Amino acid sequence: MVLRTRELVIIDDDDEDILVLQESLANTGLDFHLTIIHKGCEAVRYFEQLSHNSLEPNPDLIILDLQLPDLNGIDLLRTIRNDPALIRIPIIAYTGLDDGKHIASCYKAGINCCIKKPTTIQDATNLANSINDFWFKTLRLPSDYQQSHSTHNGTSEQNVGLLPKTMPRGVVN
Amino acid sequence: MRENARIGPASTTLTTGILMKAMPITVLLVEDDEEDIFLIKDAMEKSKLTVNLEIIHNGEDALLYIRQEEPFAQAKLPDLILLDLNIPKKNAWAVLKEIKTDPLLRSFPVTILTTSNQDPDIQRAYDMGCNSYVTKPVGLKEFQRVIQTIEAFWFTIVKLPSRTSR
Repeated sequence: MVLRTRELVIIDDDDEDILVLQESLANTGLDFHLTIIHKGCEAVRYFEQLSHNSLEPNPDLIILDLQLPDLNGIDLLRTIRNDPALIRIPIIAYTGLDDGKHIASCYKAGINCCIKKPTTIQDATNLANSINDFWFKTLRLPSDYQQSHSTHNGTSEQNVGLLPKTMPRGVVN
Repeated sequence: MRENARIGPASTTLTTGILMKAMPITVLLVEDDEEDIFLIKDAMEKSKLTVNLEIIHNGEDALLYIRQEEPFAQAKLPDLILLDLNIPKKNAWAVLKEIKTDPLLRSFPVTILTTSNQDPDIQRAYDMGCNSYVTKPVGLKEFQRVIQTIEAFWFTIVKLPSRTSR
């Protein structure tokens, strides 16, 4: 597995939830830099900038609260998955809803997986351990090969990606 | 010993684990390498979760299975698909494309489980909508760890789409 600082983005309007998840992830020993986005409009702007700046490396993982007051999470997901520059960014969505149709629509919109938002410290600890074990110690991620590294102020130092970000979804050669 | 029962001409079903749940998790493994099938079964048998493992050996049958077309009309829809990239009849890229471009199939989570650690394969799989990409490890213990980590994440942390809401 690739040993480097992981770039994580959390899009959530609840500071307490963010803090609990952030501390739980830190307790796993994961080396990560976290970008926090509180509002839907900021999330839209973030993805627009990421889409237009081909030198900025994609984050390793985005954790998205689907129930932000000023954002339709499903619409945002569809926008991301229809953008060739963003299509491969892994996104975990969390939702408090148990509605099967809602969860299915998340997967149809292109989420990598949907999780229940942790409501206790123990839930958050389990989630953080599982993200570290599965996402960063077991999976192969598209970002593993960007060979780029972001500094802690969020600026990109280099990007020598092996593939262009413009490979369209669904194309089979 | 493994416990096998035929449910179709090219599929094998195996229930593993010790914990009983109301609705056992169903994993569809699309894999033609018997040694890898054995290792995956073995790892799942040692898991704490109850997993109903359905095994399909080629891409054509995989699509028939998840569409519940004959001879798989009575097949249990999977909660997770483990798809090897190197399968006969219909290649895995075509299978992944059909799953992720068909609105009726798109919500099935697909984890690529392959020996390929080639960057173009990883990028291509995510571009085509795979939910996660795992390379098969070398060594029995590491294989077991990887399979059990996949299980733990997808079946204890993740909310899966219900089989009736697809």
